[in-house]
Amino acid sequence: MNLSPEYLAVLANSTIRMTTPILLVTLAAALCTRVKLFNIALEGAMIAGAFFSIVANYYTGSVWLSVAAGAVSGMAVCGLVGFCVVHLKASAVVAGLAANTLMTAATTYLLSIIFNTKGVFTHPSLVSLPKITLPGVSRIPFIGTLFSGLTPLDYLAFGLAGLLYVFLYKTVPGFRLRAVGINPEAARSLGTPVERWQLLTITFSGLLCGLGGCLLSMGTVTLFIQNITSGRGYIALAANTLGQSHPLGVLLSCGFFGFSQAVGNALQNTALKTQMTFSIPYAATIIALIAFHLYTQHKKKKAKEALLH
Amino acid sequence: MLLRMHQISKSYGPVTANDQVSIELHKGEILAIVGENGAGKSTLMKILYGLEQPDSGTICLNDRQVVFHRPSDAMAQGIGMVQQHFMLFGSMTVAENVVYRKETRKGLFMDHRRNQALVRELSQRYHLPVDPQAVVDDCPVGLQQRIEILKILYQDAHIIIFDEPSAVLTPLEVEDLLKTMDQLSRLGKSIILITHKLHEVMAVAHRVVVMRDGRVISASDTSETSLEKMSYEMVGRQIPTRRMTPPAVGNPLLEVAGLSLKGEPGTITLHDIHLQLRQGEIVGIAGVSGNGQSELIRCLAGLQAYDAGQVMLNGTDVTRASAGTIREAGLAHIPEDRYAWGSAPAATLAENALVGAEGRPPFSRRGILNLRQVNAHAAHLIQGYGVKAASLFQQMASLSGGNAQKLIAAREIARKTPVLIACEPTRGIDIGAMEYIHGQLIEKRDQGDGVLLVSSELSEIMDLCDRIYVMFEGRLNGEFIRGEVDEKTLGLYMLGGNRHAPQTALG
Amino acid sequence: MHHKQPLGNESLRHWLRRFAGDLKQPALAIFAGLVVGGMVIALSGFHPLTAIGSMLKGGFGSAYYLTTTLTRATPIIFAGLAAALAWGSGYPSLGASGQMILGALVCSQAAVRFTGPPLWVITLSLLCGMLGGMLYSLLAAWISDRFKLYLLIVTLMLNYIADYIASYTTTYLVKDPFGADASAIQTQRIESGILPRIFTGYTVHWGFVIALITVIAILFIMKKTTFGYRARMGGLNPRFAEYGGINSRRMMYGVLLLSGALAGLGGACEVLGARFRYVDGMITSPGYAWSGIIASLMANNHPVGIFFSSIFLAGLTTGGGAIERSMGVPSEVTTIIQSVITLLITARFVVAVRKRHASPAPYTPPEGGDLHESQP
Repeated sequence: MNLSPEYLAVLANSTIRMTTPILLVTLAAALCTRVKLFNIALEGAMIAGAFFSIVANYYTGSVWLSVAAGAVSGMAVCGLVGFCVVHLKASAVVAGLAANTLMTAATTYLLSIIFNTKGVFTHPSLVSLPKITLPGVSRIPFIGTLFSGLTPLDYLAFGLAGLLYVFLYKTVPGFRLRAVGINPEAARSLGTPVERWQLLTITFSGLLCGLGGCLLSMGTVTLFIQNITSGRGYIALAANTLGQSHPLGVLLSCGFFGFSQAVGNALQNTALKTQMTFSIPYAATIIALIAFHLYTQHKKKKAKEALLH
Repeated sequence: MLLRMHQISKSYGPVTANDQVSIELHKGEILAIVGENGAGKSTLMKILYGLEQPDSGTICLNDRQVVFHRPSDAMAQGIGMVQQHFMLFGSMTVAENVVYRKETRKGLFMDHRRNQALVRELSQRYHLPVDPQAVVDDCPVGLQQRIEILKILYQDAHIIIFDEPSAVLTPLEVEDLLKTMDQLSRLGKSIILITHKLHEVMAVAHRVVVMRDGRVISASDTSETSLEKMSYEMVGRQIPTRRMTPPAVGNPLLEVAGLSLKGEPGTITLHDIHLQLRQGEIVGIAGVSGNGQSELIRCLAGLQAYDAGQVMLNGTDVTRASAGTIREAGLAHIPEDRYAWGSAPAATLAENALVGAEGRPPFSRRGILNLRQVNAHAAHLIQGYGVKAASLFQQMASLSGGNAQKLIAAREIARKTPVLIACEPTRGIDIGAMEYIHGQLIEKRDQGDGVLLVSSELSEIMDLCDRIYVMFEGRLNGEFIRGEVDEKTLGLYMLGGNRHAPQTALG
Repeated sequence: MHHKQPLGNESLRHWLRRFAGDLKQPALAIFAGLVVGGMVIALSGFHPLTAIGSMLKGGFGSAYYLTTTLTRATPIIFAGLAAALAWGSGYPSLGASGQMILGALVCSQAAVRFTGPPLWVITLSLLCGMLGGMLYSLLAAWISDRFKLYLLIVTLMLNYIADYIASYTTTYLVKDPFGADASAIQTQRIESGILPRIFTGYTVHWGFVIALITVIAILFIMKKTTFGYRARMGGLNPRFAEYGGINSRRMMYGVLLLSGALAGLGGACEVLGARFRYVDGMITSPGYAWSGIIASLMANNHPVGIFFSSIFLAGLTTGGGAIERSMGVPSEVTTIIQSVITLLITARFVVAVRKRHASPAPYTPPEGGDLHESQP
């Protein structure tokens, strides 16, 4: 393997592109955690986003209508689950997992009804997300490669992390949203419509998932495959734990998962078999959670010792 | 007339919680509503605060009829409530908690500086000192209650309801609280105080309403009534004073030496606990809740790992043993929280009555349950202790609190172990059930077993215990023998007033 | 939540009333699922009532269809029992998929390699399959226990990994050397030691009988043994169980090992009775493990209920295949129906007004699946 700077730049670029879909979904997970909801339907919302953006793409040919379709479909999935969980008091895990299988099945169903195909759909008329070329930057050797081929949604993902940080910690609505998660009973006793906040938040989280899905189906490639999300919604839950549901912490943990996927992809052209490289992100998830646990244990122990001396 | 609740009735299924209750409140007045648990005071206040809707009856504010569908309606009319369980956002600051939902903002952004200034100003105006920037989780309980009061004042409430406000406070904090109430009333606020502690009523209230079984029994000026009269009205009969035979003390059953628990930062720690329980005595651990009693009992019961110390139970070393081993060695335990630890609310009564005994004959042999024995045992307990239940197979959650507590107490006492730990065994249950459980504890003691009674009710400790330890901030800081100590002294020790070397009554 | 099983006998009338009450929720969810399924069918231009009618007929309508359904139900029953045991004891594991895969893979290799009388080979191979599922479950239990991770996430990730392990093994290590189709990723066909069919001409095999026996065994374990009692108490209130002297760690390992063994057995029976070899994706593409979880939710963890709900779910799938062939309706409609049932199975349509006492607020037991509880 050739570890030239150029190669590293390609890897870094790939890391960024692998990070952003997970980042969008992990931000969604973080928001839900902030209002004390466990949203495991991220995966399904992402599938919906990926699929419906392709459908809109095929019929309208407009990139932005496709993105909008992806976002709205993600919101619909999370909104449905949110309604079942918040208002019908369904189990969050069960309803969320159900939504995931529902979306897997529904997209496959629609794929055969609309496009009369199974498994994969792609078409020459599909347009992909525009790639942003930063003027002047593309010619700088390392930096140019690093930032090549990024779409507006990639930049948006990073921007959203910052924006959500400001929203949560600096604004009044963000303050009230956090309060709902810290103590829903207290918020309710002071007249806050907790359920409405929860439903709004989970629905908005669906928007982020939809965008994440759209990035999968219209970013690097322009097609829809069954299992296009390949568990990213679940990995996002782990990334959310590692990032402590903090928009900036999540940025770091998603970077790690993006990196592990980029490495997995890079190793595909080597002697390693695909089954091995494909399983890297999942193994990395478990290993990262273990490392995180050991680290926090260590920190706790230190704090306790410090208290005693 | 500031507030008039007229002919309020409310029932929950077959239970009548309020039966044509009427009360009045004047401006600047402190009105106490007293009664036993289940007398209907809490329900009445929930109705006033918009948490519950009355079946019939009206509420008039300044002679205008009002209807509260939810707490925010009541708040909008200037009614605030300091709830028993504080409604605070633990990881946020004092200022953030106080201004919640009435934040000063710069556009979309929080104006933290202005908010803090407002809270500081408010705290000075009402003489309720707080640090607006402190994080609530780091504040002691008394301070947290003060934050609750500030919250209500910030919302411009002119009627403040205090629901059992002293239950979680140390005696010193209670004194502060009573002073605060007095001050607030002088500043023109009107206060409703829900309590069952009569000396607080005498100290601070202007008028008092006594409730029993959902009805108002009497309403009078505090100056025209007396402790004796109120307690008679509350209970509806004279409580016989219990006569206990002198203890026939035998060998030590439970010996704890040097038990220490170093918690994580911010949690209670236990310091070098030494205690002894002998055959034929009831030993009390007195103290305000939250001074380490729960942690100590969890350590003794094998539910919490501790850092140092030795525990001997009935001649066996059970230091750091598991809960199961300790139970086998002869410990029964009525836990302080009947739903969190003491039962599985979604399980049946029969299942709840079995726990801890499922591995032993006659209930099981070689891992196979003998359901006939299991059910017979549960039925025996339910009948023996007068638990009001329709079926062995109804859910624990469908029992009333008092009946659930009776079943838990029955299960543990029926195990006939040498040692019984009873934590707050009568919290939140009616007088009848309380007397019954007390009787059972005494009977157990008279049979030569040892009972360790943890209670934050001083009267319960004084009534039942042959010997009393006082717990304060994770330490046992005093030990007394029945009859040689009065409530006042115990109260002093309970708030850590006596810091010199612990007295030893046993020598 | 729903009711909990009593320990002993109660009056028939009482029991019937409770039973009817318990059926209300699944019945509503199934109804909603069929309505949505019908709508989906209608939207794609088919007649919904005809389609659902033929679907039910295609699932249960003849001896042939019914036995096909029973064949398909067999692995679902095992997965359902595995889920019921784990979830009902407070350990929401999604690991049945990975455990079935490993059970199936290990069993396929054992059956090819062992020699001797068929019954002997069958028994040994099934045991090997159980062991495979058990060990994979042990791995998940150990990671979750040692490092205090969500069992849910760990098992999800391990499912993906198991699938890749099996795919790798079948592609490179034990690929069928005699297969006519070189592109099929599968192991060698098992010759002796397959589970015989119950009736000639119908696919249903003795694995179904094993499943039935297992249902009864698990029913006995859950209702009549101290292990079952302890597991159930741990699921209803872990602190109460610990207080009662129940060793929660030991229970966790016990429950998850047994659950893994059941899943492994399910995978093994599918190999020995239906496929006669391990085929890449044979567990994941039909979604047996997920159907098992749905079956267990529909039955509120009751083994006998799982037996019937598994057959119902399998029937939907068989029927879905039938209408795909006869009418051209994509078979995914059955998954859509199943998912809608699941979405609503834990929802409370009528929020029960059951405030019997003014205070305190009724206790709600910790949700079996919610992670906030188990996060360290």
